[in-house]
Amino acid sequence: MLRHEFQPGRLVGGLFLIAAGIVYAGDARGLWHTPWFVSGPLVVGGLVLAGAVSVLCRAVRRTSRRAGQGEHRPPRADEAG
Amino acid sequence: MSNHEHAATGPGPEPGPGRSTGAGPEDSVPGPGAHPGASGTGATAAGAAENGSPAAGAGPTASGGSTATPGTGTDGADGASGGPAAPGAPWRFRRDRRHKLIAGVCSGLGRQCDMDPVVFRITLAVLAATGGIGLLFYGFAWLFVPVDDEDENEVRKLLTGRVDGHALTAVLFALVGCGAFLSMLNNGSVLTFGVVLSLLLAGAGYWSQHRRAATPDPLAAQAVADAPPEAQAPPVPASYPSWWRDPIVKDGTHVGGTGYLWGPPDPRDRDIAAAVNIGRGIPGRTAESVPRRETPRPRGPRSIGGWVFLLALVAGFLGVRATLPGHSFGTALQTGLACALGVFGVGIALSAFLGRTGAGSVFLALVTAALLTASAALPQDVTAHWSHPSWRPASVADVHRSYRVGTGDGTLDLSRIRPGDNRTVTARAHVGVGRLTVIVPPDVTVRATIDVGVGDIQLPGDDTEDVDVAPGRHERVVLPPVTDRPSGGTLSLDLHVGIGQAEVSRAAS
Repeated sequence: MLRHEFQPGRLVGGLFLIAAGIVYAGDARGLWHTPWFVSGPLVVGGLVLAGAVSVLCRAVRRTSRRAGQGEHRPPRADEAG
Repeated sequence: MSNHEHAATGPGPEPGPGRSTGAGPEDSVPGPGAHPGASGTGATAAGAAENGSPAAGAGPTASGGSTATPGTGTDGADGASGGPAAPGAPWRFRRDRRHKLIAGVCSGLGRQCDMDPVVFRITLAVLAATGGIGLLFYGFAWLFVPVDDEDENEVRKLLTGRVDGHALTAVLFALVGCGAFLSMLNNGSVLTFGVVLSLLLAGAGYWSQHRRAATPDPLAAQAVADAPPEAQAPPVPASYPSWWRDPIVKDGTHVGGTGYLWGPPDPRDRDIAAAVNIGRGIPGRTAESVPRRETPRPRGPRSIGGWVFLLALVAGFLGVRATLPGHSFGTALQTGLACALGVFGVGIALSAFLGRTGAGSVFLALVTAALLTASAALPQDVTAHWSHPSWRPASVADVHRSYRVGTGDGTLDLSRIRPGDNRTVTARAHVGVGRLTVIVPPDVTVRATIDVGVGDIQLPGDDTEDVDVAPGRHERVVLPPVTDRPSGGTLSLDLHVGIGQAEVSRAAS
């Protein structure tokens, strides 16, 4: 029971974390120089953005679900898969 | 029998909410001066009948006429100890009052683990003698594990004002154990012995407990485990006057006391604990709720947070291992943490499609990012060990261009350097984290450029007690010679300290 519906907030947060990891790993390898304070905006900003995206996505889904209920029976089985 | 139980022997009902006194609801509370007798048993029977209960609470209690006296504290232990001893009932860890030596902890442990309590007694005594772990455990078990016929542990009794010798002795045990344990913290071998012995004891207990765990029907065992506690008559939901308000009888006991040293100001107030207990006891009396099993709420996709954390640990370790040869410790740490953060990112991004990660993973990622920031802010030449290098060049020709320490306490002693008239000797020194001390001869002019990332700069005139830690310190100073016969030469120093202290001092002439 691993598969579920797509959650874009998680994807955004994860991508920002990966970006922070890459930025610092490159700094450690000497490929470029990263100021130490970069992680703040990158990680915290990424997580805030992720939260905003997931809230937005939830709102959109709720609206569309409600709209779908208004017209005909909701396709709940599709969403669960 | 503890002191407070002696104190509770008066006609007042028991203070403990879980004590199965066999008393019915409020109306069956005897007045002051009530004694065991026919009226007492009658009240019990009436109470049980009123409740419509299966008489589970009253059953074992009413076996003897004398023990079924409501409201007398003396029968509490005997009456209720028959209850949990029902065959097949799974034990929770309780102190065993009947076979106790000191407080019944070892006896309870032996009963819990199906082992001879002597094993626990001897091992805990050995553990107490070597490092105090035994005392520590015994004291805290005494404090936090209730006796088998009570629902309250000693800490709760203490905090609710029923201070008695048992609780104080338990506190003393715990304190002495803590002291002995702390005093043994430096002694690694004793500590190792204690930890290994306690792990062995715990393992033996666990094995013994699960030796016969192969029950024929786990579902039946589950049902037994989930069965609600036996129905108990509710305690009277009122609290009782404190002992100091009552007259004290000649022999030192007092009339109507409860053993409380302090309590609610108005004795007519309802006791909240008792009220809660009543509320809790009600569902236990209905027969249809016996196999009450909550069906777990469906929680959505399974969490992958644990795997992500494990993988991040592994990735961090591998990153450090791969970078450490040939690179400094700070660089390796940064690489490892960056790898771990990347794994967290991959896991969280993956959970957009598969599995579930929650606040725990995000928190761990934040912690990793904070550590990564700290490791990036560290000077890159930090090493994992603290070194104490000391250089003492004998002549101008011996002075190197640069001296470096990663982490440690470096001393550059230039007191034997005489640059000569109008000549300049230049020395550079760099310390990542730690302290850099440069000793200069008294008869030369010193031009110093000192950079300290975070820390303090000490110059010859400064008070050594005056340590002023500040970030981003940068000083260019010219120190004139302090002797009457200056040599005319100049020492040019270029000092860098990442985190720590840079000190320039004059050698004694």
